[in-house]
Amino acid sequence: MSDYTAKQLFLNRRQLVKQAVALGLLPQHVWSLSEEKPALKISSKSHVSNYNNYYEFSTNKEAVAHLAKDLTLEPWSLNIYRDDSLVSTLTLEQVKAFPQYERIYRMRCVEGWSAVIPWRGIQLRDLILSLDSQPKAHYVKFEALHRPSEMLGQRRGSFPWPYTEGLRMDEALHPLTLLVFGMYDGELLPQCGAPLRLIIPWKYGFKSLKALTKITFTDEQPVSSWSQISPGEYGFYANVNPEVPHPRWSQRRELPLGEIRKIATLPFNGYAKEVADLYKDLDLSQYY
Amino acid sequence: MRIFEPNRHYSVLRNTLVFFACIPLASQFQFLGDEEFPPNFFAQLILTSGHTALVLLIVALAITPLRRWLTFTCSVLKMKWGKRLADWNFLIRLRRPIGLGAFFYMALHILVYLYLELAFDWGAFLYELKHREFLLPGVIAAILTTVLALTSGSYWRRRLGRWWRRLHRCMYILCPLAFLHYFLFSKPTEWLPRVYLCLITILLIHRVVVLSVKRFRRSDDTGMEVKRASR
Repeated sequence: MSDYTAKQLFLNRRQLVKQAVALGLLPQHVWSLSEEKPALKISSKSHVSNYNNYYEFSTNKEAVAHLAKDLTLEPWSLNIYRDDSLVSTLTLEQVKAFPQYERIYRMRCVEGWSAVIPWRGIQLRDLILSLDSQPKAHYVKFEALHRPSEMLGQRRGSFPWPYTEGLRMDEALHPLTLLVFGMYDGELLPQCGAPLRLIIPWKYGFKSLKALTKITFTDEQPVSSWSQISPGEYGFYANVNPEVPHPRWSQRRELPLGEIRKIATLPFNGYAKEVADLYKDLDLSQYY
Repeated sequence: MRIFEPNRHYSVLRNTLVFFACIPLASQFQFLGDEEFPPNFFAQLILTSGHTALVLLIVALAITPLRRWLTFTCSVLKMKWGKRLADWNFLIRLRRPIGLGAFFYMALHILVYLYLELAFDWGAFLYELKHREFLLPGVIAAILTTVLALTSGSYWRRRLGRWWRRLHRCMYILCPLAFLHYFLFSKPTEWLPRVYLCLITILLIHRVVVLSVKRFRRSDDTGMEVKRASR
């Protein structure tokens, strides 16, 4: 439990800032209460590991944990491309060699439920900046494992496999963006995207791609799997935004796993202070 | 001769129906045996209640065509019992508990939505109504279902006379509206909405055919119980 203090500090950070404001150490306007939740209550691990959206295995959230448990995780390699040419291939050990971080993040699913999960991983930023010839690209495209022999859901033809997602370069370089291989003081579970997944806490959960195998730097905006299927519902940015009405359900509220009543959803999932600057020139109601 | 006469032992059928109609609700409380509260009880409750209400509405809509098809099948098979519309009167009588079941599940569905999702914030409800296109058909269907449930008793049936049947033909609008509400909410990859769409279409086409094709018209097939035995 070496990281216990760090976690406690992290949990109490809002309290600390509040106290600082009260003492006059911080200017009042920096602390905008209106967009903050009172405290982060970590979701139960059994909920997080038995309620998964992972279409590679099943559309049934309760079935995923059973279907994913035998996924072959080794050997695993992360291939990095600049357009069509291979730049680098990393093993999991090489990924884990970067400075590791423990972060407790909110996760908001586009379907209207949410969780608070402690992750362990590296900043994607560190990995990108370490590449020999730093790829000067506008976008980063991510692709997940495509292995129908083990991933039952991929045998259905109705989804454009492999699962693909994309980020703008400045989003990928943001310190909040993680490559994750651990959760709740243990390994990342197969149903949660083992051995390696992306976590972008201010975007809807489907952006945080699981079982990552390929990263491509490109100047063309990648088309993500979901926006390919239903462009009207799933945009490229997919920032958590309670004010962008979704045609089918409300994005103003979310159900924290294990709770019975819904709570309000925050702009950028509560990370507005950290990331709102990235989008200051963008009309968020148009680029959702 | 016959051991079980469905028209005479109607209450047995009705109680069986009530028993089965309670299963979707009861199965929501399986977690009481578990150690932990389910991850998304809200979604479980609101989806099951809405889904069950829709299924019961479709079943209610199926009663009249079903009676006609069963009568036809029995006479083709030259069966002793079942050739007459009156043999299937119990189906018509079961329609009311089925409709009331739909109303009950719909009420639960709405209550879960207003309380657990919106905490009875009516301003938020109006916002939702404006921005979520699936809500309006649901709200209209809910109002109609409530009117039909309230007037389903024999008192109102007598009081309204022939207007009762006209009023209760709202089902032909209500059912597609409830389906639309469900369809607009479901994900594009789901297949169950297509099944329900087929069912409702078939059941409504039956009405159009029976009304417009002379060969299939039958003056006694009014959707109500048939008093005297007729063939």
